[in-house]
Amino acid sequence: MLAADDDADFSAYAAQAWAGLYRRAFLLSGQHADAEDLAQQTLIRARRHWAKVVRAGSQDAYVTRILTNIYLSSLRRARVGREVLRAVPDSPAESVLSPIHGELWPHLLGLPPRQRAVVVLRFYEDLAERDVAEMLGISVGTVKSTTHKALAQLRLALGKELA
Amino acid sequence: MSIEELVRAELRSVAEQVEVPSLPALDEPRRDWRVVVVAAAAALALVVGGLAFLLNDQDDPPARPIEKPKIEHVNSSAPTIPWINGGRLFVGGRRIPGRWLEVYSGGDTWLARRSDTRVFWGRGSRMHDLGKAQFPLPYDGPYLSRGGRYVGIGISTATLVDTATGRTTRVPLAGSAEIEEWVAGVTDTGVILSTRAQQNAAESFAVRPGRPPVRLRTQGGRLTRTTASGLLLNDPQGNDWVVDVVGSRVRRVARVSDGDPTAITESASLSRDRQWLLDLGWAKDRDEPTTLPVSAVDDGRPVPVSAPRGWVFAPQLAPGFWEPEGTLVTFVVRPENREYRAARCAPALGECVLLEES
Repeated sequence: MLAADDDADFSAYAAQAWAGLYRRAFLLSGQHADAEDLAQQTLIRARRHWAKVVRAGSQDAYVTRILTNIYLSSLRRARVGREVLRAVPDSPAESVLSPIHGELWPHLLGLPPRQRAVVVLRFYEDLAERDVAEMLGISVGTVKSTTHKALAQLRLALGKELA
Repeated sequence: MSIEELVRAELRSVAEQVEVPSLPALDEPRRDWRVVVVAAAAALALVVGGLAFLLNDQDDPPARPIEKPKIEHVNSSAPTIPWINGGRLFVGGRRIPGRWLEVYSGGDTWLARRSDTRVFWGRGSRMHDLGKAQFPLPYDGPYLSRGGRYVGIGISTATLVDTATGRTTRVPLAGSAEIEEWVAGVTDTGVILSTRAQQNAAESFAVRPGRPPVRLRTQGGRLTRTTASGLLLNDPQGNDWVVDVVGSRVRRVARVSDGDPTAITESASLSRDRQWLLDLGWAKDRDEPTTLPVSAVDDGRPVPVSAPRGWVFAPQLAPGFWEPEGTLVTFVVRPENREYRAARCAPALGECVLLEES
């Protein structure tokens, strides 16, 4: 239970952060229902650990870490698990998953979840490789190789589409 | 325009197009009555299956009491446990070809991920390919049982590898497309430990091939994964605990994280003899400390373990590999010439010695 002042602080933060958080969650999950669950869970967890969030300095960065962790820890385990033993990425998701159309978006949705998380953190959040590595608990080398694979897959998909 | 610029522009464009709903209620989740009714029905079914399971579960040994081997001195011989030194994997003192990223072991079985992301389990120098895992194994597995008898992995369907026979068994889990169920660990008797997750709720189960699943008594927590420390339970406060599962009971052994919601793996590594906790925060520090951050599991007291004279610890190489005797194989560096060496540290004695170079 938060003290009244902390509760007011958290409520103000949640109101101002919600739209950005929802957009990030959508980029990760690709679906509105999942995005809403993900962003809501993130704020619930941030509220539970509000003192830590405040101490962290950059509240947005800390909350983005929570969001990414929740996404990677639970919502996409099914696809990740298949990735492990089969080692074949799923085909690009159908655009019916979302009414949003962009040239690359269906292919971004088709990336394995971990690759998509790295791509979103690198190119939407504009985080440095070292920061992505720290956020995901992996090495800088893994960030580099994951980014490389994701971009190669996107380049290939785009090439096929344009051909 | 480069592919990086295209991706950046596309993500921004998609984000701008997203219609954002209004901020939902942010109260802590509560079970609604429909969930309770469904859960009660499921519980009834599980009780029937669970009784059968428990009645037939006599071959599951009770959790072993903590063994506390006595160490009188620290020796400098090469480790016999599987360990990685500069990307080289050694098992029983012999090098396994290739460059390696991580290794876990139980009994005489090891599980390791190679730099090409292929995962293998093995005994001695004989190894078996399990496929690719792009990210570190604690994320999604495969997982090795504590004594090394089984490897388990899977979502919706568990794959169980008996390392004594090499036989692979596929076991359907009871989750559904809406409610995922994944393998969090496996016991040395071949019981799959799984977690079924839905929005704001999760339950963990013991699944034995051909028998109904048994819901585990987790006191509100859920099993999440297996790390070098062991099988992890995430409690309602977000703390990670190493646990043992016997029948439907979950026994907490040691807390290995403080509930940091941004952490993906545990923040302390539990020794194989379960006497010591090594704080993994040190591996992220740029400093090269002269003392290992170890504490005793029993009472939490800090246990100072000094580097060999003239050397400092080099946690950036690897936090270390626990040996069954409660010793840690880790790395040290000589500050003046940056010479790196492996060392064996004994928290029970508070000292480390340099290992003989192989």
